[in-house]
Amino acid sequence: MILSVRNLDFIRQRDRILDGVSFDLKEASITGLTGPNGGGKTTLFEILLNFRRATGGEIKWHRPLLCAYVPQVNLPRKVLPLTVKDFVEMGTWGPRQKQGSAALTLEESLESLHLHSISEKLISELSGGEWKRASLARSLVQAADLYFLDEPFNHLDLHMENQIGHLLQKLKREKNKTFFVISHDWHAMDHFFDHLLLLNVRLIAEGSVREISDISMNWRDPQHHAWMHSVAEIPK
Amino acid sequence: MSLEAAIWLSLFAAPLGSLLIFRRLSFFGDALGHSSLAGVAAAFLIFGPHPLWLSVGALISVFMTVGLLHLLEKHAKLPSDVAMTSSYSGLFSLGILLMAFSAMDLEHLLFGDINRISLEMLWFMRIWAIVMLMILAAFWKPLWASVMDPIFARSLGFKTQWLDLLFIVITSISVVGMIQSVGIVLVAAYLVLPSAAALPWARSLTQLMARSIGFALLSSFTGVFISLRWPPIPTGAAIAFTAFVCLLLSHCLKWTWGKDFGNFSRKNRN
Repeated sequence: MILSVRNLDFIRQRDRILDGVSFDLKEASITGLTGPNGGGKTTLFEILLNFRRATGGEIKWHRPLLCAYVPQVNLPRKVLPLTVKDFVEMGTWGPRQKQGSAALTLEESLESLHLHSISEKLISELSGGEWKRASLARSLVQAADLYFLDEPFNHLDLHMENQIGHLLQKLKREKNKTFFVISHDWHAMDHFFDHLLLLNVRLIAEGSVREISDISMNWRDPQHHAWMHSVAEIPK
Repeated sequence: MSLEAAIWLSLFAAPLGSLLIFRRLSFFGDALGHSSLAGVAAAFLIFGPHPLWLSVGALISVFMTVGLLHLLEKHAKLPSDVAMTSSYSGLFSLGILLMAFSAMDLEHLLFGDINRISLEMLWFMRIWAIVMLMILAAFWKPLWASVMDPIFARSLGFKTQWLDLLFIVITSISVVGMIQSVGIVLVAAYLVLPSAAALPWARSLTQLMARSIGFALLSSFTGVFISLRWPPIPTGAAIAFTAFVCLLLSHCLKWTWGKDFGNFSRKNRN
């Protein structure tokens, strides 16, 4: 266990964004965070990364950890004159870089995310998927134990998605890295994730990918909503 | 002397501009320049036309504008462009009101005169240019990371609130250093135009800064030459207009010659 969250609340201008969220994060795991839009997933990330302060509850880090974060940005609004290689290298710029080990070196990240052929291209010329891969590469060269990835699989084709899924699994196994991933991609979550949290203001369910997907198949259906909540009430 | 002033000016204004245009703060420099009029006028009324006091006055009113901006944006919840326009036009008009009571030449302040620059101011520019280049070298990574994406900079472990403060301080001091030579109205031109001209030709951040300094020097030399050759032409405007022509030419050349369309290409404009 590296992180325990207990009864986390976040209220913004009388809107309850998070309500009594509790979960644990295991070391060297890939944990998915899914749920409807506006369910508080990104807010939860921002609280854990210390960008926001929770209004209630407890966050316990079991040991000091370095965190890296890939925000959910689709295309850069401000287009700096940077080549892909320089852009990825920015991930190594931080003052904490020497305190830990990165998941990948610069060369490895360009290689494994298939950025070599476009490494001299300007980031303003990238397609959505290329940009996503470059952002992912930029975070994997950061020295960190825990990587927060906000929707890393959107804009990616199935082939690339599989490659990245395998890459994350390899980094988990060989380098003891932990990944906490926001995703709506059931294929990726089914094949590559160890554990899944279903969040809609409250933590509705957690468990293996199969268990959750059975529940969430019907989760937009109001008929099943009450049933889903009752499933969540069962003590685990 | 005016040429030397123009060189020092290019050395600190152009690199700062490169950072400002990507922080969407190019208008910020303009607003600070305008609002400094209030402080300059007040200092003139109290202490007389001493360049040091005028600069101190300008600096005080620039910092007051920043405080006012913060209040209007964070507490009155105005959109940032509205807050900026309100605070700078308020202080600018206050400055004009104060000027009515003094015998100072308003035109000289508004449009500056690099040929009549005082020795103190020249020294200030020499020192500030060197300090600015040192700050840029020392904070190169945190500054650019926060320009790229503040959240990313925070996840790297940089203290973004201190970087924001650093931005405000270096912009304010640079603006104050510029107003005597280029005038209150044209401050933004010196900050923004060289970097905007360099942008299509840059493939890295160092290239962007180096080339923006290049464009700034080119327009300074041309501007000073033109104003010396044809006397009634004011130097400040000549330099700013040359920079503007450079900007247009640079983008036209890139558009016709370049294989790709550079940074502000059609593909990415939306």
